[in-house]
Amino acid sequence: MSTSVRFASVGVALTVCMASGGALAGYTQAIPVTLEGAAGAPNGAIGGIGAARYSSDPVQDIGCEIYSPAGSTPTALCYATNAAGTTVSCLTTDVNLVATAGRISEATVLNFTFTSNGDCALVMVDNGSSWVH
Amino acid sequence: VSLDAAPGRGPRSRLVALAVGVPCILLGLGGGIVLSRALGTSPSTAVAPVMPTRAAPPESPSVLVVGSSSARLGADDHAALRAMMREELAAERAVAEARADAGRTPTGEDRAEPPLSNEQLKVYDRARAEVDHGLAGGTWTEDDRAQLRASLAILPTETRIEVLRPLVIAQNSGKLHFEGRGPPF
Repeated sequence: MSTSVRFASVGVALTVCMASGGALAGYTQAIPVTLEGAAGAPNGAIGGIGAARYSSDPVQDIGCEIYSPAGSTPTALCYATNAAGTTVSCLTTDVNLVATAGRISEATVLNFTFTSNGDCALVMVDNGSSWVH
Repeated sequence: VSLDAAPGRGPRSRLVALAVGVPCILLGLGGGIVLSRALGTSPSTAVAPVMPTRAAPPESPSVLVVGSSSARLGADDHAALRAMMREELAAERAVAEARADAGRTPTGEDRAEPPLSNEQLKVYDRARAEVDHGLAGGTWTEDDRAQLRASLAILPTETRIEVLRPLVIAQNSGKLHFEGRGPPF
């Protein structure tokens, strides 16, 4: 066996070892996007950013957009789409809620509720390592 | 006063001094008591008992209640007193409100936005037409989202909310279905 072949074999072995599941450890939990409230009349949603991103279906989605035009009040629009394809959303110009919405990351479980007028009543951002997938 | 310190005086002169001085002292004390009673004060009431009171705020007038008073106010005096208290309270409230206003930072709700320009009015009308079209059809697509976003970009916050709100309400109540992926609006 030539030297180059030996090096190649060792490289392949190392690559296989590093790619195995043993390199990723730690507690994780997936929170799928779920609508809250009565059936047909949701008033909120919850879901993990990572769980939605890496869900087996190509539909789940959750997050918040923040508009911050110069000289104008920032606005946040939070939205969530569950696996069934139902989307809900809410709007807010509340400075505290907008600030909270701005703290979303891939390690976030987002929960928001809204009024019948479409205003966000709550924006909760839960950041933790277990939500990263 | 030391009687012994007086030079050239004997025991007799001391007796004379005592005989004259002691009655004078007693007379003075007695006169003082009589005089103070005549003026309506007495040694026992000249210094009133001071009740322990809380430390008054720096800006409020310090009031010390010495004892019960038998004075009675007439109806006119009551009315005048009430008027004075109302004025004081109103003045203090005005000062407190002014201070609160000075210390408050403007929130999003407080900021007044200027009226829309002609260009913004045109964009607003177009955006409302897009929204009405989506609501009428019951569906909202990614193209609709892109078109509306372009319009919303130049609208101030209040107007943007006004445009978006009907879409959000319709979506949450199941009357508008988003057929795309990602944020609906």
